Amino acid sequence: MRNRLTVTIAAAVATMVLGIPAASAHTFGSVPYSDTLGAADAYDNECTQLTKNDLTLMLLAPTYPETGAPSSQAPSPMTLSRGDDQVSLHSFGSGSSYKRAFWHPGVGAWQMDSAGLGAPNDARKRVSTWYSSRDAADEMATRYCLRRNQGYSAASARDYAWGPWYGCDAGSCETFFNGHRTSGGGITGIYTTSSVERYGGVQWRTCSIFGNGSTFTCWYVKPANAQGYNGFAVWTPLDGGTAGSGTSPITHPFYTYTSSNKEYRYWFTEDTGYGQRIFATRTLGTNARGGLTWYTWYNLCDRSYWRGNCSNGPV
Amino acid sequence: MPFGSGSRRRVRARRWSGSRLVASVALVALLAVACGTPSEVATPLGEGLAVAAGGEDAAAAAAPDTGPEAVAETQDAETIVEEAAAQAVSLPELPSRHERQPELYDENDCLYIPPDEGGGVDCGLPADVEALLEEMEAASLADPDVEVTAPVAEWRSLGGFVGPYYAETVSGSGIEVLEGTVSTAAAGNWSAQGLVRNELPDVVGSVSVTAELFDADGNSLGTATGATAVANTRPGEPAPFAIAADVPAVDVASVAWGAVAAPGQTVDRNLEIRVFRVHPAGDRPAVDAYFHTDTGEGPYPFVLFGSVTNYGAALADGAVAVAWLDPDGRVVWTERVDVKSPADTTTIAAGGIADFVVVVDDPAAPDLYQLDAMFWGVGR
Repeated sequence: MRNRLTVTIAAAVATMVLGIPAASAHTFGSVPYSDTLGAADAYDNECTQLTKNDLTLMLLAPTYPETGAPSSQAPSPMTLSRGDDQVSLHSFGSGSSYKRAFWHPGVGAWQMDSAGLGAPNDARKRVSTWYSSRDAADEMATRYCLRRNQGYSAASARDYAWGPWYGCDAGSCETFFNGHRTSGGGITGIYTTSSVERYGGVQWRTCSIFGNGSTFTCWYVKPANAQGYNGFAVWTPLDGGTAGSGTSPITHPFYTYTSSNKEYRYWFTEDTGYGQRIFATRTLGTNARGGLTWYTWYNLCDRSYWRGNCSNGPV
Repeated sequence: MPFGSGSRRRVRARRWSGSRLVASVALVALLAVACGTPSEVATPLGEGLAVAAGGEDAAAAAAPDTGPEAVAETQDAETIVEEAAAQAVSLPELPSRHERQPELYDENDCLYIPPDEGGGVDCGLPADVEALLEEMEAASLADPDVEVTAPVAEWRSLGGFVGPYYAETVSGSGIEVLEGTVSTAAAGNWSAQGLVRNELPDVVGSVSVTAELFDADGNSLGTATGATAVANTRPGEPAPFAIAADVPAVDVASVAWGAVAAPGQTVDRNLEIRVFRVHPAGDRPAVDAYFHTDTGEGPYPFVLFGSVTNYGAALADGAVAVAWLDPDGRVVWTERVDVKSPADTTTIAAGGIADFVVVVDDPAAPDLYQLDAMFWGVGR
């Protein structure tokens, strides 16, 4: 939602695909679309003026500018923000070493950020279109109905509902909404693709902590595996250049899970090529900007592929 | 938050807890209030009773009621203070996840799993794994081979508050100026910004912060006084202040701090504060949203947009105070703005929301985009 850069990227892409009419077709992942419909169905009862179809379109609208996806490609549920470049998000708060062990605060098709809508959720939940569409629907429906109940028009209420999403500035989401809404209140021009799944390429893995026999599910986030529009993963410079310059690095692959109300992210040496083991934590509910604790070791083992710290203690 | 490289600390085994400036003499002024019987403690403070200061002179100045009689009481009162030290306070926790999002969390705050992923709930990792992780992280703090970089203080998201320096216990000593959070102007007239913290077990009202300025010879140059941006400060809660004096900063060699609190009033500040967007000052794409529109070609101001959700009773005159911290955890800029409800008022309805937007176009402001910000949601 705070992603300055992806919006810039989106603008560039839109320029390349010139002449997109307001009603041009847009592509969305089939399961993510189903999730979005389900979310709209779950939250369209906030007020009588809100319909499931309208809320569905309201939900779809910001995903394109927020992820940078052109109309012909589905927004990737794995999208990681590239425009949030506060130095505090860099490993060890330094911005100089291990540049691509970077903590992206904005995650997912709706770019839920740890400062706001994404604060209570770990990366997995924000990637999942089942969860993130519901979080977005909850927010949009609440905002829309509170505004509508004050006598504002439907368009004004939508503008209010989209306030948290920068990608909706200057009426872009309203254009999307009107371009895909039929006169009868239906939805038109949304095409789905099965190539983009709920987790957008994020993989489930079985993990354990060295020295403990219990296993649990962890999640492997590898930007190169992103399904759908992957501009966030390839936008250069990959290391972000100078920390704080406005473009963040794109992280090397990382593992993530939640324990004791803390979100964990691990960067394995196999993935980073660094000679240093790294992991970081964020207490859920707090902003990653300033709320991260970094460690120069880890004890996580990916038992699905026997990667990570599967046999050695802290180094 | 903090943070650039200097914004963080290398941790070994202990957490930074902020600097305490409570002078023993200053304590005297508090004793009658902070150390009374439980019923007395619960009574709103008398005018000028809550004081803490950074030196005897300052203490005397900030606690004019502290006379010989009060000093004579010091011994007994200090004993009582010690007994009251580290008194636990009730943190204003936000409602549970289930209460906030019952569609996604069950009564135990376990996350519902999508039906097509098997259904049921996700309650976290096995207990033995969670315990092991906690143990290993704690052990790593003392391991010389492990480098840990952590925030200068633990950040919390509470009702009506987001940031560090919120204490789980109070000393009973009064209003404490957290010297470690204070930044002062290096040039021009003297000014300072920082945090105080309510170290009393009760809510206090408006807090007046006083700084007496001294030259290198110990001569008083003047006094700066100002109120915190947050009234009805809860036990353990910090509050921001900004004060200034018509005294050249280069002439100031030392400062004696004091703080006095007015009687407080318990206000239900059960507000969840969320930040949606932050746009840096300078040349950047324009913001064009319902809450703010950049005009012209730029450069544009710093813009921060967020919202509060009210889980308590309705609040009138809703506002949000913000304090930005430098990498060392010092306050370098403060703002306070009114909120705007969906009805375009400053009243935050029970169960309702209200947005806030902070626009800073002061060329003297630091790069707020790079700094971590603390937030307070207030009202009456």
